[in-house]
Parts: sequence; C-alpha cells; structure tokens
Amino acid sequence: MKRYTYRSIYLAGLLTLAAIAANAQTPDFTAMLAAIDGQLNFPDHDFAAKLRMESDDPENGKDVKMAQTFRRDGNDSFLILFLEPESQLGQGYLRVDENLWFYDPESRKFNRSSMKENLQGTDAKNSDFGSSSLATDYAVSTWTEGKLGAYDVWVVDLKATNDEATYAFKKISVAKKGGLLLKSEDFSLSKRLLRTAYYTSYVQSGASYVADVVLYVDALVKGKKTRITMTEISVAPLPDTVFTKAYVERMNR
Amino acid sequence: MYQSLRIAMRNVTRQKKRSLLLGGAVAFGFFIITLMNSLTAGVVASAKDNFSYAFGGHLYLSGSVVSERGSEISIIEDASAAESALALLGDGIASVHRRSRGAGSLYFGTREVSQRIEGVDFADERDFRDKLEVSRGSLADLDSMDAIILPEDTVRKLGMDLGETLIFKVATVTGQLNVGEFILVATTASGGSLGLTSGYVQKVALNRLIGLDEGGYQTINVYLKDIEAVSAAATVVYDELSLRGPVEPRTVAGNEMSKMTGLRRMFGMGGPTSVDAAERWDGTKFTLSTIEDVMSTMLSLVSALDAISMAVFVVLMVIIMVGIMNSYRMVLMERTAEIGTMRAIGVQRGGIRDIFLMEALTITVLGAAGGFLLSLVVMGVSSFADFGGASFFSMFLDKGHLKLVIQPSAILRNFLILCAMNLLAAYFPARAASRLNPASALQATY
Repeated sequence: MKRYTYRSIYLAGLLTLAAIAANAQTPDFTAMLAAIDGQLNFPDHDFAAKLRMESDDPENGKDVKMAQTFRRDGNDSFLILFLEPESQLGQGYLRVDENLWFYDPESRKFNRSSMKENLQGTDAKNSDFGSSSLATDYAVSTWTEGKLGAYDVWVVDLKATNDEATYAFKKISVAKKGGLLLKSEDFSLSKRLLRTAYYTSYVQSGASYVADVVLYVDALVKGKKTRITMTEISVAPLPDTVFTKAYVERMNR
Repeated sequence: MYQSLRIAMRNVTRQKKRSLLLGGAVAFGFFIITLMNSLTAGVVASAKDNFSYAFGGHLYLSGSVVSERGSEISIIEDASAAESALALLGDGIASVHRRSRGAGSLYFGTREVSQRIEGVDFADERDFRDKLEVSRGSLADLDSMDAIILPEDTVRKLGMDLGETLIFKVATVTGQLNVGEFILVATTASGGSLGLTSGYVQKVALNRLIGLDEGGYQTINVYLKDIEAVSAAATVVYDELSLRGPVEPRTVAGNEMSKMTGLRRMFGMGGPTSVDAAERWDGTKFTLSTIEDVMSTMLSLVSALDAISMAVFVVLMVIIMVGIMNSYRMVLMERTAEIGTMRAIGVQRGGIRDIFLMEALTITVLGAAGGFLLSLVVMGVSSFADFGGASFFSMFLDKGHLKLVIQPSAILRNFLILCAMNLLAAYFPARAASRLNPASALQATY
C-alpha cells in the first residue's frame, strides 16, 4: 500500500514538472495577438500598394479588379481607388475619422459604407484593408499545436471581446517560428465556418510585414474564392491630402 | 331657351352622319382620358395595397441607438415616444405591428442571392396569411421556426424548389455575421426591378439570428384606416416624436438624404455605421417613413403618365375643336337661308347664337356620355382578365386583376374642360351666324 502511495506521489510530481515544462514553452497568446497586430500594422509610416483581386465564382466565373490602396494606420485611415475594370474606374473607399465612404464617380456622391461589407463582390471585407486589431477585438479561448503544410503552427481559437467584431469566432494558425499569421478561419455567431483566409506570402517592409498574397475562400459557396496580390509596395510618406474626399474627387476629373 | 334647345336637338338629329362623327370624336377623347385616369388611379391603389402588405403598414417607425463604441445600432429599445405619438392618431389606426428585418444573402448550392427578410409575428398579424399573394406552396407551416417565404424571382435565381433548405447569412444588429437554415414553404409574386419584395420568416427566428431578444423589434408598422390620411398622420406623429426625443429629420432642404436614410433603415440595408462624436444621441432615435416615401418613384411615374394622358386628351380636344369649328362654318353656309327666315320671324341674334352653342353642347354631352359608357364597358371587361400572380406587374394588380378606379372629380374636370373647349370652338361660327343680315341671308341660294 505504502509502495503505491510513493508511486502516486512520484507520478504526480513528474506530471507537474511536465506541465511546468510545457507551460514554459507555451507562448503568451495574448501577447502573440498583439505581436501579430504589430507586424501587420504601420503605426509610424504610410503604406501604398497596387492590388490585384482575382475572384473565382462557380456561378459568375472569373473576375479581375485592380486597385490602388493607401494606408495610414497612425490615424486609422485608408483609401482604395479602383483602376480596373473600366466600369469601376474611379470608384473608391475612403476610411477617415472612423467613417467609411464609398465614392461613385457616376453620381459624384459619397455614401456611407460599412467596414463589415464585402469589397465589391469579392470575398474580402473592407476591414481586411485597414489596420489589424486582433488583440483588442479577440480573446484567446483555447489553443493547440499543429502543422500547416511544412510549418509548425500554434492553432488558436479566438472569441470576440465585443459584439461588433465582424466574426464572433476565429481559429488562427500562427507560425511558431516568426509568429506570422498564416491562416484564419472565420466563424459566424452560430459557429459556422464562413470563410478561410490563407496568408500565403509575406514581404518585410521595415519592422512590419505585408501579406502580399492572401487567398480568401468562401465556406458557404463551394469553389468561390478571391486571391489578392499586392505589388509596388511602398512605405514612403504620403501627402495628407490623399486621405480626403477632395483627393478622391480630384482623381476622377 | 327651351325653343333654342328644341331646334338644336332637331339639327343634331337632322344631320345624323355629321353629328355621329363629331360625337364619336368627342366620345373617343373622353373614353381615352377616363380610361387612363382610372387605370393610373387603380394602379396606384393596387400598388399602395400591395406595398402596404409587403412592408406591413402605411407608416413605418424605425429606431436606432448609439453603441458604446459609437456605432449606430438598429433597434427600438424604448418605444414610449413612438407610442405617445401614435396615441394621437386615435381611431385613425387600424392596426400596429412590430417587426424585425435583416438584409443579407441566401445560399443554395453554389448560388447566392441578396435578399431582405422580414421577421413577422404571424400570430399577431392575423390577416397576413389572407393578404399575402402566394404563387406557390402553402402557408400552413408558417408557425414553424425554420419556415421561409420568398419572392418567386429569388427562388428562381437560387434554382431551388419548395421544401428545400437554404442558408441565410445576415449581420446581427451590432454587425456580427450569423447564419441560419430555413426551409422554403411558399413563394410570393415578385416586385421585379423595383427589388422591394421581401421574404418572410417568424420574427422570433429572425431575432435569434440578428441578436435581438425574442420580443425585440426594429420597426413599428402602422396600418391606417384611411390610406389617404398617410401624409397628415405622418405629420402628427413626426411633430410629437420631435417633442419627445431624437428623431431623424424627414426632409433636408435641397436633398433627399433623410428620406434615403429612413428607407435604408427601414429596409435594413448595410451594416452598423459609425456616428460622428458630435452627432451621437441618447436613447432611441426614431426615423419615420411612409408608404408614399417607399412609392415615391412609382408615384412620380404615375404623375408623369397622368400628365401625358392629359396632354394627349388636350391634343385630341384641339383636333376636335378644329373639326367642330369647320363643321359649324359649313353649317353656317348651309343654313344661311334658314337663319334669315328665323331672323325674319323675330328670332333675336342671341337666339341664333344659342341654337349653335346648344347644338355643340348637345353633341359634346352625348359624346362624353358615350365615351364614359364605353370606358365602363372596357373597364368591366378588362377587370375579368387574369394577368397572373408572379410577374413584375403583379405589384400593380389586385390579386392578378387590373384594378380601375373611377374618379368622379377627374371625370367632372375633364367633362367641364371638354364642354368649355367645344363651346369655344362653336362660339365663333355661332357669333357669325347671329350677325348675319336677315335680308341678305334670306336671299342666299346655297
């Protein structure tokens, strides 16, 4: 009996040590979310790039749009100006002072839009083109280790901290090495998968990283996806006038 | 005067062919204008009825609050101001319904269609089942939490059939995406390019999806006993709402932004938008829309149609006037000797003039009466025709039938215009006839 007691204490000790060791290797996931935001945002400088959006819809076929994007995360502003197709030339989304405006050159009017809406029929949300706020909008609920292709990843389940986050739940895969966000599964309030975003390529720009190729796969329509590629990336300072309605109007003259 | 009328009647019957042609032209003009007026009035009446049933009322009060994060959330949290305002309408209200709604996407297989869905308390809105124009399926299973009714157009785009299950993706009132599954139980006639036709589910089911309590709602829909009283009622309600709390201005000078804001809220379009710090408000801010706001585009079209038909009527009348004038000039020549005889036996100038005018008036009255009777016959026949229930035009029909509304005031107006124009046309030949020299007229050989 005494022999069993000692064995139990010994096992418990071993388990405790194993747990402590495992815990020592487990990152601080809250800090990890903040780090991801830090990597993806440009708090100290501007950002500009050309966007190519290739949508694949089983019903409507392929569609390609080109746009120029400008970002200033310092004051949470961005501008997306469409260059192609011809029918959308000059249309723009301007995020400024917490408002998102859609400009239609035909009516020459700015109408309010929402960060939660899809960008021009693609599978990307308007909010995907602004600054990242994972750390403020989500809290970690569970985590596990996994593998995504050749990469060892942390698979982290997130729950929205407020009821205004577009997706109530997310499951993100973060590379163990480098801490880059590689995949994000976005769920509805009823916990149904709505879309999966694959961040397949990054380029470094200063201290920040830019996901220059992102694939958004619609989970509700089989075969519907949008691939967004960024080129001509620049972090040079932009004039303040870029983030104004007047600039959008001027570009359409 | 009576003698002049007798002679005028005799002249009308004496020249039957000419009178028939002139009267026929008058009748045709009056027939066209009466038919057009009745048609446009009927279309407006049918559309108002159909749109009222589709949107669940004549007055729509939608509410919104500002969240802690500064977003505008579409919900009525405190309805006291609205209830006080509606109390002022007293007996003018037929019924009040509280609905929720969401604009989202329907998914079936690989197909996706944008659709507005209304959450209706079917137990509360008892006449909903009777009034809804179902083109296929049945409303027997409407109490089921997963039952959905969709417009025929939407169902066709989705390529689905009755009894099949679809997915509805919609944002909660705070903007979080959510999805639910529904079974198609019935289809309704579509609003076509107006794109205003809603789908319907149980309010509780929709509330669960959009994050409202089971008893929560976003709009208060009011049926008035008299649809013509909408504008007056809206003014009363708006004035009271303005006194009791924040309310969206109904119109802004120079643009229609407020009306559009109201309709956007009413239709549940777009997600929550941020509100500038200076523009934020406390409590529930109400936005008032009416069936006339919803139908403003259509009403403009109807007004244009009315104006066009009036212009056609006037052109027709001018042509008839020229015809009458020429006819009476001929009559003047034909009856010169007769006029000379009448003048010789003591008929005064005014008497001669009155005979001509009475003759023109008689033809006008008889022609108008004929045109009116003809329009009644055509209206009666066309109202039997069934144009079906699932087309674009069905929103302008009364359960598939053309509705023609006789408008006594318009008929009286058109009749008076007709009489005035024809009397004017006959006046100049009549005056010329009255001024004939009796001695010269007696010598006339033609």
